[in-house]
Amino acid sequence: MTIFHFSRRGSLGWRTAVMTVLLMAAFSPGADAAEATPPQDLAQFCAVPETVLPNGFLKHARDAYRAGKPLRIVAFGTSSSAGTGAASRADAYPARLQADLQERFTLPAEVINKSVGGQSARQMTSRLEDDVVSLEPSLVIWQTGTVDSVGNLQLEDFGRALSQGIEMLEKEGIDVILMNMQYSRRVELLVNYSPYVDMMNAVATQSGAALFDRIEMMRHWASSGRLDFDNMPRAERASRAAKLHECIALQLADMIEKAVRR
Amino acid sequence: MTMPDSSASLPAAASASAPSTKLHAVAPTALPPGVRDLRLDFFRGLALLCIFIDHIPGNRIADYTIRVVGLSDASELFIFISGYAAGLVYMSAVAREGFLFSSLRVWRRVWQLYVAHLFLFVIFTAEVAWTSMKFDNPMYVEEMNIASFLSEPHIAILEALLLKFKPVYMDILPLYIVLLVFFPFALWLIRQSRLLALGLSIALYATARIYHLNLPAYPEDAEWYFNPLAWQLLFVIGAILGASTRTFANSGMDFPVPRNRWLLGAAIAYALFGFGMQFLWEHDLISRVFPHGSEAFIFPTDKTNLSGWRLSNLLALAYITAYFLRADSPMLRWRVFHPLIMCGQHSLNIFCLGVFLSFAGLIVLVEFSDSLAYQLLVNGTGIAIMIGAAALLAWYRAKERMPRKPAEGPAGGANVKSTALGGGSAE
Repeated sequence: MTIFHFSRRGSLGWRTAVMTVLLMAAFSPGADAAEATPPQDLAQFCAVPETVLPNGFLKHARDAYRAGKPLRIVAFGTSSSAGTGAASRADAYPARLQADLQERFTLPAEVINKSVGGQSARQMTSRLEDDVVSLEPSLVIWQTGTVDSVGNLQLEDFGRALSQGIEMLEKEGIDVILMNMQYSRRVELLVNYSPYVDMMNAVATQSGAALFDRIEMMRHWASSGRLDFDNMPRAERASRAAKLHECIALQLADMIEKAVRR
Repeated sequence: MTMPDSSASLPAAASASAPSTKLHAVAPTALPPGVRDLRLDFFRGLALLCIFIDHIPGNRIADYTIRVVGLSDASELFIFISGYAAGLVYMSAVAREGFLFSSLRVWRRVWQLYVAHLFLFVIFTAEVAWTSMKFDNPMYVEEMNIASFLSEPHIAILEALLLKFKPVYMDILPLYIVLLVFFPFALWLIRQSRLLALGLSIALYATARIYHLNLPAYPEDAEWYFNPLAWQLLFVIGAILGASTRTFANSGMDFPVPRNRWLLGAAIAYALFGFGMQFLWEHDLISRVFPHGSEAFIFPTDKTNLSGWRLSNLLALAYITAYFLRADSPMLRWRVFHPLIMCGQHSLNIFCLGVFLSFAGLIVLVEFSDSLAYQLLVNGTGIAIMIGAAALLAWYRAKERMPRKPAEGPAGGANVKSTALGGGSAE
């Protein structure tokens, strides 16, 4: 890290140069959006366009619900599901989802968080047996893709790992919601997500797993100025991260409720 | 599937050129050998602009680049044209200057590309350092692991020098470098027998695909985004076609594949199929149109290993284009296309500039706003800078050659032209 040192002055100069070249003066920065205060109503705040709205068929969860069994869900992800960056694990979406589902259903619902940071999809598949199947859930939220795209890991193998995992879970009578990456324009500058996002879409379509398009949702929340983590003052980060997890939990709960009640 | 046919009938191109000779007779400005095929410049320029636009993540304009045309995209176009141009130029260079000299010229070119790649790598490193300094939100700790190579710079730099470490969007130059390093060998094969060269190329492609072979990359478990063992096929097909142009087609200027209505029909049918599939995929309609699972054969198209869908789509489009757009078409001289042609004529410079500009463009979108107005501004400014730079380069190159002209007189003019071609047209 030390040899790549930038003086503050140098970096400002670069930025100024870019600004000048692009004649920024003609455009007003999108400050209006960034300063918008969140509306009181959470559902309204977390709303996403129809095209991004998750929708899926969750057969086993629905059967469990109809049979009057408790709804058991495993959140199976990496750092962003473990709650890194949120104030605590209790602030991460799995805990919030559990609270939300308990409010919506009379039956007991629990969400067990089995997330470990830094694992690729392939590494996660070797954890499926112990961390998911043995708990006998009817649904697993499999959040993945980040580690693979950051490490530029083999795309084909990523796809195979996902299909194999989903197939195994399906055999065990467990539904899968695939959740893709977190959105950030700054990260997109350095990581090419699109082949991995496409692969997850394809695997979901081909295997019949449901897809929770987190990256597109977050893109929408960012571009509408509601949750833009790219240029966020340090003081706001914790509260906004909590808000993000609330929104993800809400969208998941909507999706699950719709699927089991249909 | 179409390739063995077309290459087997390469000699037929001589007879197929009959109508074009007629055309030349009609047109007063018949193109002498040694004049550039502007189609190559045009489409390479187009590919470069598309690569710039496609490399800005989240760019809404990128939904309207050449990707929409079918299953293949600007990468295939760029590699195909580069192969074609390399075959065209170095084949005649070998005849003129001998094999060793031409090979050294290829490798000098490789050196330029290598240096350019390292330059872009340095820019990327600065980019990562800047971002990791500015963006330390713990929410993205896993994502910012991308900066982990900064903690072992001695290894990262070595891996970059070995072309094993290829940061995001910097995959195409290393591919081009590897392809050109082995190009003299391919050229030698092509000179012996085109069929043999094609056969070996197909065999290598098939072996790589069947046994999942790819070159090693950094960090561990990463892979070359463009597998050179697979992509060489497209380059070699381009090179064979380019090398055959001068040798077989007396007109010297047309695509060395017979003009056949059935072939054209098949190419159009396939291109329409590719367009339809791509359209359905892009608009998330594919699972609605196809019964469950059947689309698995095609999507996602394997870009890393150049899936047959992509390869044949590009070849179909190339055939259709060459059928209708002749090298001497006056359309290529239209003023509106001139900027594209200029970009294509300085492709290495413009390519590097484009990679840098997509970085700069994304920084603007991150730091200010990614509203549609800003996206249009960034795309527009980037394209304007690329065209402006190409124009400056063209002007500079012309000016550099100017003083010789009066001294050599009218006879020398043609001479200057042909050396200029030798020096620059493969690039």
